Formats: sequence, structure tokens, C-alpha cells
Amino acid sequence: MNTIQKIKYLGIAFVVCLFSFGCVDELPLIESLPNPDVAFTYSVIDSTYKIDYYVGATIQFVSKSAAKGNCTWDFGDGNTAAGVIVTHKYPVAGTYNVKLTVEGAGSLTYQIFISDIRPIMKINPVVGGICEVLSTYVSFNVELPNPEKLTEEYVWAFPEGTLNQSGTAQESFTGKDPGKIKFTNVGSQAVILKVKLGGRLLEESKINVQVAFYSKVPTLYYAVKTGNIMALKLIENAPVGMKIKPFDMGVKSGQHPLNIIFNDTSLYVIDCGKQFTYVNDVDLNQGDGRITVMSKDGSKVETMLTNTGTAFDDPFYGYIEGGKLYFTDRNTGISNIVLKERNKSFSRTDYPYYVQNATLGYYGLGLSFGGMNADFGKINGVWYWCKTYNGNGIYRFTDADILSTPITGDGILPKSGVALEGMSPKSFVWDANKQVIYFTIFDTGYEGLYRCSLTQLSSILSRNDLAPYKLKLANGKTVTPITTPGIGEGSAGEYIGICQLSLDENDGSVYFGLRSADATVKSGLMRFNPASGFIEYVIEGVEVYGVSVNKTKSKLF
Amino acid sequence: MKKIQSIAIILLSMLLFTACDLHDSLDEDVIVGSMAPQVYWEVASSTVTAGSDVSFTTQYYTTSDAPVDHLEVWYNLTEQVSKTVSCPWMQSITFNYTSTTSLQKRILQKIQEYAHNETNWSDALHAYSFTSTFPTSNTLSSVSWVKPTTFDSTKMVSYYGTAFMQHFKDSLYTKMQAVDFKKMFQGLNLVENFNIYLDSTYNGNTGKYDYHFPKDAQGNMPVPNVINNIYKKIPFADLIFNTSNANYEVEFTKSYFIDANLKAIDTKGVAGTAIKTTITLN
Repeated sequence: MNTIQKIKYLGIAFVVCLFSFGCVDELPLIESLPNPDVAFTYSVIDSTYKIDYYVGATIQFVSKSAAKGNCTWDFGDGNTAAGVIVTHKYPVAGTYNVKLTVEGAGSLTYQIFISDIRPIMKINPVVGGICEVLSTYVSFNVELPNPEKLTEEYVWAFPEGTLNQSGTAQESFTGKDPGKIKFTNVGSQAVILKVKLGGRLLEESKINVQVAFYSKVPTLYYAVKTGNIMALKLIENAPVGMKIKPFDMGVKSGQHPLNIIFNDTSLYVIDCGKQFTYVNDVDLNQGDGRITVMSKDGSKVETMLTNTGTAFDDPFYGYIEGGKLYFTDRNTGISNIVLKERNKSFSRTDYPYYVQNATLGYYGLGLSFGGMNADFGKINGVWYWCKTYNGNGIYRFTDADILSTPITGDGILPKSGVALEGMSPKSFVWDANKQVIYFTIFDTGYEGLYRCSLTQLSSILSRNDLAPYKLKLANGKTVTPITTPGIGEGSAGEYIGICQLSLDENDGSVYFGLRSADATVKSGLMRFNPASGFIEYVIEGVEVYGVSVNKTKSKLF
Repeated sequence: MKKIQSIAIILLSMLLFTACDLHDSLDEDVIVGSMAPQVYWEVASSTVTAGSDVSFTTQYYTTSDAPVDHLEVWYNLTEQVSKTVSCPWMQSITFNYTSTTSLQKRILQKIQEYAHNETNWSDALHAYSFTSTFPTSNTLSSVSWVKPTTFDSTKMVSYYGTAFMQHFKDSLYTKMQAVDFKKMFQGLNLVENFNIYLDSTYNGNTGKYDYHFPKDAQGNMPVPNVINNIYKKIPFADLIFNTSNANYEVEFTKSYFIDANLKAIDTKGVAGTAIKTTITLN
């Protein structure tokens, strides 16, 4: 056998071996993929209320452990069991630590949350779909899970202004069915039901009846600190005795929704996240801001954009124009996103700056690196961009002024110029009908809400020029947003005592939330009423971030 | 001959790497399995009222020889609790208790099953598609007790625990300065003239007098017993009462969210999973 032949034989032998042994791995069945040594699942196995985990529900625990040792269970309430599959009932609501121990392999603990029984309250459908103040009767349907057939006791509590079918005030009712009722006040009317089951008082249940006004009026939305988005019908001259209360939209405001913007049929909530003050985000991962979109009735909430990168890229302030939402980051620039976009993750590549500090001729000539952003928008085709740190003022420019590449200085100043230069303008709104701009500043000694024409705005060259334009309450007081670190929120340049102004184009009122530094002027939801010429309270005591008016009139939303 | 030996060794080495069932380098790096169905879904709203159904739309298909058998919605449950209690009487410092927790309360589990239906095929999408809902529990509605105008000690104990109020009071006491006691005692009308308990020292830097409790022999400024005794009798609710807004400075919120996903499972039991979606319950 010569060398060539030997190589041939060896090659053939190799190929044969390869075919024989190279494919011995069969694809494993999905079921045979390994579990962890110790693993388990649990679920309610009763025929009803499977997702509720009520007290008394039969819960099945199944070991899915790969290890083969004996299984013992500690249910966290003093009871134990043994076996691969076991069941248990918890007689008391609460959170329990369930521990599975597999002999020779270790243990695993999961929490299980057992809910107390609560009555399920529903409003029966009403004619016309909305409950109108003074006229629409509503009734309720109550379902109470009661597998042990215990005695049931029901006590209802109705809000002020509730009337029964006889037209008399109905403050409470004892029994399962209170019959039909109607309301004499507008807004969310909280109906509370307290139930005793077998003599034991359950946690109370509440349902909000959204009571509409009887004619069409605009709606004001506002974001409450640590609360929900609220809505308020803007009703002038409500009938005597009728209270106009806010609607709880059932949607969380978020962490710091400094701006909310109503557009078309949706409310865009611009939430700059938990960390809105300065942070040295060296790992570039402290961002948690987002833009969400709430339908006007609160029934639908969608995420538009989420930032999980650097905290400085969180969305802070917004403005809508031409099918796009423009939004600022903390202190560098403005980007935009198409209004229809949903579930997007922020990246600077996908959402590049439309304009930034360094792409304006102001850069290095007043506007500096890190110039902190505040409200912005367009008036008569000119951008107005508020800056409250590292170059304070309202920087005005047109699209044509935006440079294609960043500069380091020596630019050409835009002709529009800077307004309120050196001051700290936080928010503004333009009233095109009356041709006046409303703005707030928070410079110590000059804090407040102002109104003037654009010509007058340009003529304000120092804080002393502001005085003629300052707006007051009827008692002569002015509004003073908090600018003390540790008392309000934020520090130098960041104060959010009045972080948004919103105009009702129907009557020219300007709405805003005030976090007041003046003990004699309470914080709250306020407005400047052009009819009276004064700032007025709309709701006292509430802590508000962004505000926005839906000028389209409606009875409900 | 050496050439042949070298070639043989190389071939045998390759054989060992590829053929060894116990040390299959490919198998050690990845889990090989069957082709899973592809599934995508969109949930209509990221916030729903607890107890209401969540609407979703899905698209799915498979390239495996095993057709899709059914789909399943799974979700877990996380509870978020936020607590804040503050004392508005404090002037020297801000004193508050804050706590935020986020804990998974129930593990991922199957909530609802949906039968696969051939009529769901869409030529336009090149996938099966349908719209449906899955339920949430009405027991998971959020709880909010924020700056109430009336104090409810039962709720306070329920939300903060039995020991909290005394602990808060004791901790607050250790941080209070004379100016804080003065503001609190005068605000609550506990003394007629607080100044009788104070000494003053001229501050050359500010040009004003600093008020403080009298110094003892060691130069310390302990809280006088009479002040301590009055403080002990102050109800907890008064410590957190904000006279400006006529409310109590306590905030408690509890809410739940679910992390949901949709699985498409073929007749071999192989599952494809859609991207996780977080839904807040209100």
C-alpha cells in the first residue's frame, strides 16, 4: 500500500467515523431541558376566582425541581406539607414566604400574596353612555365572593350631593342594592361600600362615578404630585349649589411630569423621571424618563418613548407642532418624535438633536455649555427657548438660525435675540387672540407671573423693568414659587414651582400649578382670569406639575 | 510517513471534537431545541383599572413542521409601596421618613389560554392574528392615602405598623432644636410664652441673636425637662399636622403592576414567547 492509498483509506475511515459518531446528539424534547435543581410553581385550582388568590382559595404547589430528593414545603403561616404536589388554603390575607426544600439539593422561597375578599362593584350601563349631573340615574351591581355562605352586611356611603329617586339626599344606604341615584355635583363622585362578611369587616371598596356637566365646556388636565392625572371641567357660572369637582382619570402622573400637552384626542405626559436634579451619572444608566400618551377619557395609556440611558437624556419639556412632539433633554437640546410613535426606546442616534445649545449662534456669546432647559415653543414662527442656568433668558431663533454642526463660539447671533436675558424664565404661554405672552420667572425678589406684549417683552432689559407686567391676586398678593433647596423640589436653575402655563383659548384664562413659598398664598391649581384681571384659586392645596387645556368643548371628556 | 501521521492526528482530533457525546463543544455552549413559533403582541393600554380586562392583539406563525396548538397569557405581580411622613414644624432641618419598596408578590403564572384557529390566518400579514383580552383581579386596585384632612389612626397603623408612630416621635425628638420646639409648641398652643425657656447669644456674623436652651455646666444645651414632658404628651397626629394647608403630612400609596407575556405553543409543546409588557393596575 503506497502513501497515497494510505491517505485515501484514512480519509474514508474518517468520513465514516464522522457520519457514525458526529451526529449522536438528537434534538432534545423541550420537556427534557433541565430545570433548576429546586423550582416550583403555584396556582389557584378552584373553579372560580382563579386569579384573585382570595383567602380560603385552594392553592396547588408543584415542585418542578430537577433534583429527585424528597420535597417538603413550608407555607409561611406555620403550616407544612410533604410531596411533589401539595395544596394549601390560607385563612388570613397577607404576604407569605413559601419555601420548598428538596432533600440533598437545597431550597427555594417565593412570596405569595393572598388577597382579602372584596366586593366587586360595577356601575350598570346608563342611557346615552354618560352620567350627566342632575339628570342621569345610575345603579350598581355588586358581586361578593362568598364560598362559605357567610352572612353579608352592606353599608354604602355616597358623596355630598347624591339624591335618591325621591329627590332626597342620600348619604348612606344599608343593604346590597341602594337602587337608583343621581348626583348634583360634577366630577368623580366616590361611592364607597363597606361589607361585613360573617361579621368581619372587609377592606372597603370604592368606585368613581364620572359625572358629566349638562352642556359642553373645555377640560383642564393637571398632573398631581404622587397622584394621578386629574381633569376639571372649566365651567363659568355653574348653577348655585353645584360643585365642580375634578375627575380622577385613574392614571398615575408619573415621577416628575413637568409638562403635559393635550393634542387632538390625547394627553402627552412628559415625565423626566425620578432623578430630575443634577446627578453625576457616570455609568450613563440612571435615566428613567418617559413620554406616555393617555386617551382623553383615561381609558387607554400607551408608552411613546422610554429612556434608560443617561439621566440627562430624560424628556423634560415638550411642544407639539406639525405632527411631531418636540422634547428637551435636561440641558443640551431639543429632539422630536412623530406623534404616532409608540413603545420606542430613546437613543441619541434614533432621536438626534433638532437643535442644541451649540448649534445656535448664541453659543459662547451668552448661552453656555449645559444651559439648563425650561419651557419652549413657537410664537409667530420663532422658537422661544427658556434657559435657567448657564446662560439665562429666552433664546429666540428661527429654523433657519439652526446650524448644521455644533460651534464653540464666534457664531452669528440670531436676529430674534434674547428676551429676559440674565433672568430665570421657567414657563410661558402665548395668547394669539390678545397678542400677549404670559411668563413666569423665579429670580429672588422678582418671582411671579407676568403678562406683556412681545414688544414689551423685548424692552425688558433688567429685572426692574418687570414691575408693570406683574400679575396679582385680588388681595394684592403675587405668586412666589418655592426656590429654597430642600423645601420645594430642585436646586439652582431647576426649581419647578410653576413649571407650565396653559391657555384656555375660549376665554383667555391661563392655568398653572403653584408650589408657593409664601405662607399667605397657598399652593394649588390657579389661573389668571383676564375677565377679572386677577390670579384666582381653582383648587387650593393640591401640588401640581404640568397643566394642559383641551379647548374642545364636551360634557365629559 | 510523518505526513500521514500528522494528518491522522489532525483528523482524529477533529473527530474527537465533533463526535464526542460527553464533551460536545456545541452542546456545551448552546441549548439546541426545536424551532419555536414566532409570536408578537401589542397591549392596548399600559394602565388598566384593576378588575377590568386587558385588550391585546397578537400575530404569530411557525416554520416548524408542528402547527401551533394554542396560546397562553402569563403574568406575575409586583407591589409598589411608597410611604412618606414629615414634620412640618421643623425649622432647623427637614425631618421626614420615606420608604419605597417594589416586591414581586406572585410568581409568573398562566392566566388564560386561547385556542389556535386556522381562520385567524392573514394573507396580508403572513401570520395568524386575533384580538382578545385577559383578566385582572379587582383585589389589586391601588390604595392612596395622601395628605388627609382628617387623621385615621387605624389606617396609620395598618399602613405603617404598630410601632411606627412612637418611633417617629422618638426620632424626631433627637433632631429637634430650640427653634423647632418653639415653632411646634406655639403652633399647637401648648405654651403661652416659649421664650421663658430660652437663652440668647448675640451672633456677630448675622448681627442677630441666636435663641437656644440654657447651657449646663458642661456647655451643653439639653432640652429642659418641662419641654420634654410637654412633648411626650403631644399626640402623633399633631406632630405631622400642617396648619397652613390644614392637612396631615402623611402619604401612603400602594399599587400593583403585572409583567405579562404571551406564549404560542405548538403541538410538540415547544413555546415561543412574545416580548414582556408591563401593565399598571389602578
